[in-house]
Amino acid sequence: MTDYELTTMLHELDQPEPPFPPRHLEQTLVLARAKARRHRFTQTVTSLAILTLLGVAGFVLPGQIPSGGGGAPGASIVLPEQIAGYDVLTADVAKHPAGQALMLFNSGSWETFTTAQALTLHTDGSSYRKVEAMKGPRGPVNRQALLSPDGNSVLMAEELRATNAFTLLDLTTGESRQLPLPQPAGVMLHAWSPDGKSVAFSQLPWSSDEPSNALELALRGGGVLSILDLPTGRSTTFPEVVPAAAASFGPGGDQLAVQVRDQIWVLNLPDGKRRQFGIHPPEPGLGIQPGVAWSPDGRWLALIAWRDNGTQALQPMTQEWADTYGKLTFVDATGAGRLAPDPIQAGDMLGWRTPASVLTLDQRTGQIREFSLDTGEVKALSAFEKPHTCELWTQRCGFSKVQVATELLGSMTIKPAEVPQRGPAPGWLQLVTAAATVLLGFVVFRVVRRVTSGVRAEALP
Amino acid sequence: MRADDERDYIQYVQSRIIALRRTAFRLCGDWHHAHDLVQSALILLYRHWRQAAAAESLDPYVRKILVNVYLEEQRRWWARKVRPRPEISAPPEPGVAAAHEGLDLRAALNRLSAGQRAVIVLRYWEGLDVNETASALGCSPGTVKSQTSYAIAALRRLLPNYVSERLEVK
Repeated sequence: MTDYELTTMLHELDQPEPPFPPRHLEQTLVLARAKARRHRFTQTVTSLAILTLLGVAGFVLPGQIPSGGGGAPGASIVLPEQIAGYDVLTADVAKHPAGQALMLFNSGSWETFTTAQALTLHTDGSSYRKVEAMKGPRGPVNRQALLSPDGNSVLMAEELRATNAFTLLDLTTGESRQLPLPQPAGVMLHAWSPDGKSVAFSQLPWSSDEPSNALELALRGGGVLSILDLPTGRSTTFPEVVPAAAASFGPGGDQLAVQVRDQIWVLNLPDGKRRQFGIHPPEPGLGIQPGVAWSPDGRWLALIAWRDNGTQALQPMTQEWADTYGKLTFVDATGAGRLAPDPIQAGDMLGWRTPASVLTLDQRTGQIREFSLDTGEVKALSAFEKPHTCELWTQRCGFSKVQVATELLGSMTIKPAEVPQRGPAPGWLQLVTAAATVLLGFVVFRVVRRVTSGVRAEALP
Repeated sequence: MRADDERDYIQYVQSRIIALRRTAFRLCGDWHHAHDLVQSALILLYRHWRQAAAAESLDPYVRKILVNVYLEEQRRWWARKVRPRPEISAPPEPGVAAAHEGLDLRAALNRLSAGQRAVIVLRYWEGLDVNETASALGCSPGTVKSQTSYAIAALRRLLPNYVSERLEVK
């Protein structure tokens, strides 16, 4: 079979051509127009779907891009005008550290089931991290914690059961160190010294691993003052200072104001000598502001109401107990009898911003304000958001146990809040999101195909 | 599509639709099927008209669309299942060979793979050279040559003595 033969045979197969079906060209034109429209529609829908998926991915997987160094040393310290709250997608600070922290607080809801997390707000003003190590026997924030004055560390201990060892978490590296106690004890953390090298706490023998709220009352009624030396991990106890219900370091770190029942004692740490601090004129029911009572210049002590609330032990009354509390009274800490600033109804005290102004939190409104003790001026600096993301998006999230890195308050600037940088989403969620994205893309593709097939059928005359 | 583009498109289609249908018929061997192929190709051409109109030569571009539509359709599973394939009849008696020869060659063409049939149609029926065929099929000239060789070998196998008998009859 040559080429010529094949060509010849094929041409002999040619037949007379039949007429075209009626309106063939018109039908073709109608279909072509419909197909072009469908193509444009498909392109538009696909583009929108891709944009939507990218948007979802951007929302679900936030913080993949590092947040510009977080709390890098030497960078400016920013308090955002709005402080974000609970978000299930916040990364653990131990796995994804974000540097120096300005604030440590709990955010969440305890209405039906506990959805709460301990959060650090870092000094860039936009990075947030979850402190997973705060997870305790009854929920995600069942351990007690103290944020160091420089915002670089968090010291943690058990709150509801015996502590075997303190946990010292370095926020800049995410590494943690265990500081064991000689024997298990009930522990209450009080204050971090200004130099960051020691922590005041009280302790009593307690061996039970069963979580119990009785531990806190027992400590307020019988806890022995102790000082933990962080570099060595050793503790020094002051058996005569009992019950130590609260404490606050003086600016030099060598003096400690301690609340012992209804009295305030000042303890000289180098020699262990103590004296009772007198309030003139005497005002019953007042005790030191836990942790941050002493002003940075050593002139004033901040006092708040202490009540026993029907228990055997006095407790500091913050606005977390009742909205009516929140009055701050100031007394001369030097004993020279100077005229102290007037009391202020300010909310719960967070720390001293300057020797003559305090930072407070109004629990009712979530506002953080600065009160000038000299002029009486009040400035609203920031506020906590209460997102509706708790209890599976059925409850507004609250906040509690707010602490600030006191050493950083003086140089802090206030800026508008940026989008919270919460670090990479959990690995399981990234996988689920990727799978859901692929599935959604497939479904969109099939739907578009189905719709466009329908358009084609309709276009038939 | 803009009105003037659509006018050009219609003008082109009206002038070329008969030739296109003929090519389609040669590819598929059925007039109804050929109408469908042409329609599908023209629908695609409508969407890509600007690109086609800007091409160096429009006819090869449209032919390529048509061949692609045909090959694409043959790749679909339902085309392989539903399209009937005529059986090759036994060698006819010498006296009736002429009556059967056209039918047998069509049946043999239907037994070729879609690609091989397209090569045969384009090269020997449409009269394209190797390069034009390769362009229409979107493959290399070497592939066209090898596929041509396979296709002719298959035809020889399917139609033993066909050519010699035919020549004897003539």
